[in-house]
Amino acid sequence: MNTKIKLGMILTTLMLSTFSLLHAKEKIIVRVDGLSCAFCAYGLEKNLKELEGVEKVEINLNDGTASLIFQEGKTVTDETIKKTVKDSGFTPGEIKRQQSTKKKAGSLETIELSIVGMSCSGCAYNVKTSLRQVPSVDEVQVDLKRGTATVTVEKGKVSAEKLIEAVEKAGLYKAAVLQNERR
Amino acid sequence: MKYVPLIIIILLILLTFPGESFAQGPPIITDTPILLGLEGKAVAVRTVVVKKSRLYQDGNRISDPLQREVTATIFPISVPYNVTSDLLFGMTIPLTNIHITSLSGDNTSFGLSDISLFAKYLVVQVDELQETFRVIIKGSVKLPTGNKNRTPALGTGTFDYSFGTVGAWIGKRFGIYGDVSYILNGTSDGYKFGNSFSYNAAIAFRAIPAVYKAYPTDQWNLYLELNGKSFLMDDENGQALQNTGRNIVFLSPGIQYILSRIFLVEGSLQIPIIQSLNGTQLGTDFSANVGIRLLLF
Repeated sequence: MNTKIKLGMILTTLMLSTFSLLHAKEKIIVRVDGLSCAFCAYGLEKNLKELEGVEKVEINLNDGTASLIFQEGKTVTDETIKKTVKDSGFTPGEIKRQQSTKKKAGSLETIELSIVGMSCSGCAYNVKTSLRQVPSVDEVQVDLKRGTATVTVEKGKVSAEKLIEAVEKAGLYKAAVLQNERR
Repeated sequence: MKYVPLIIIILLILLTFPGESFAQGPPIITDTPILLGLEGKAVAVRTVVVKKSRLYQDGNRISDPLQREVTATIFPISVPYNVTSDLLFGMTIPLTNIHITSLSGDNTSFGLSDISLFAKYLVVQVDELQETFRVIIKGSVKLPTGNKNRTPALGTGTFDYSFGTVGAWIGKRFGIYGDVSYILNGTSDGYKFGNSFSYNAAIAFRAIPAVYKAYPTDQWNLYLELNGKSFLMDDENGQALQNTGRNIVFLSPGIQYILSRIFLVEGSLQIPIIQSLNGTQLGTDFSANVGIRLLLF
């Protein structure tokens, strides 16, 4: 009886893990060499968007990378990505995969910052990139018009001061906490 | 030759700018080995105005007793289509207006000129992070679709072939481009226009934005090109004709605006810096180019 219960528990755990994996959003970052003109990146962006299950594609010319965010439970093989990059006229490099499972309710908090000094989309991009690089940051939204950044972080793992420091490191910006909300 | 110091100064100024991020678009006259984006599946519409009114004899400018002035306005529509990322086919359909004025009367012709079909194939691709070096080979055939019996003629009445190669290194904020091609002309009714050799070099610089942060972003690019062409003498029934054949080199500053990544508008002025004309011929005063390119597919 005990063995059956143990087996049942193991199977349930395995099923739950599989379910969780299937319903995780995957982010793939691929290094793209030869990405040296903005207008020629259009074909790459278009071809990557056509891959099955791709929800969003971001081309980052400064890093020489393309990021693909997949729908929950969907993904493609490294070979498919490499072939798509190659067929688009570029040379594929290292591929990194990140699982972004949904965080449990109550495990995240949102910190809203007011930022002074952002005057163009380039500034907003700088701030967003810098905030994203802070460990345990889950999501960043920058509102250029309002001069704010809404940062979702793992609860208790990132201080507002750390985020302010990241903003100010990105350029000649001044930041302050507007709101701190746990969820 | 008086322009050489100017070219060197401009190049030095361009080279002192920091190359922080990404490069530019395709040069305006010099070809590009990039067969993607606006060079891959697009339509390019251009207006080229060439004016000739200066008469030269053995390299010296002389007064023209007929006071001839030739203005050719060409509207080439090019449609390149890349079958794969390394193979491209395309067609150029030129509408041409040629107007000649002289003391002996005026003549104008307008209509379809000679259509060209072309192909390009990528033979070298060396990609690094944020830079690329590519070389293509290319070929084209010009069809005798323009009316050669009008005055002035809109076509040569011959099938002409060209073969060439294009190379470029495109780095962060700069690009260096070069192309060479040889044009082999056919014969019509015993008359053959001299074969020609063309060579172009361009340096490209992205002026705005200084740092390419967000993608896509509108950008302004500056170009400085040297465009050369050498023509052999024409011949008629195997006999070389005097007052034909020439070498000409233009210095061509240009500017280009790329909106997002699907539309481009550009313009350049070709100023002749070397004109070596055999015998007595009209030289080129200038050539101006204005055009747009639109990504279709």
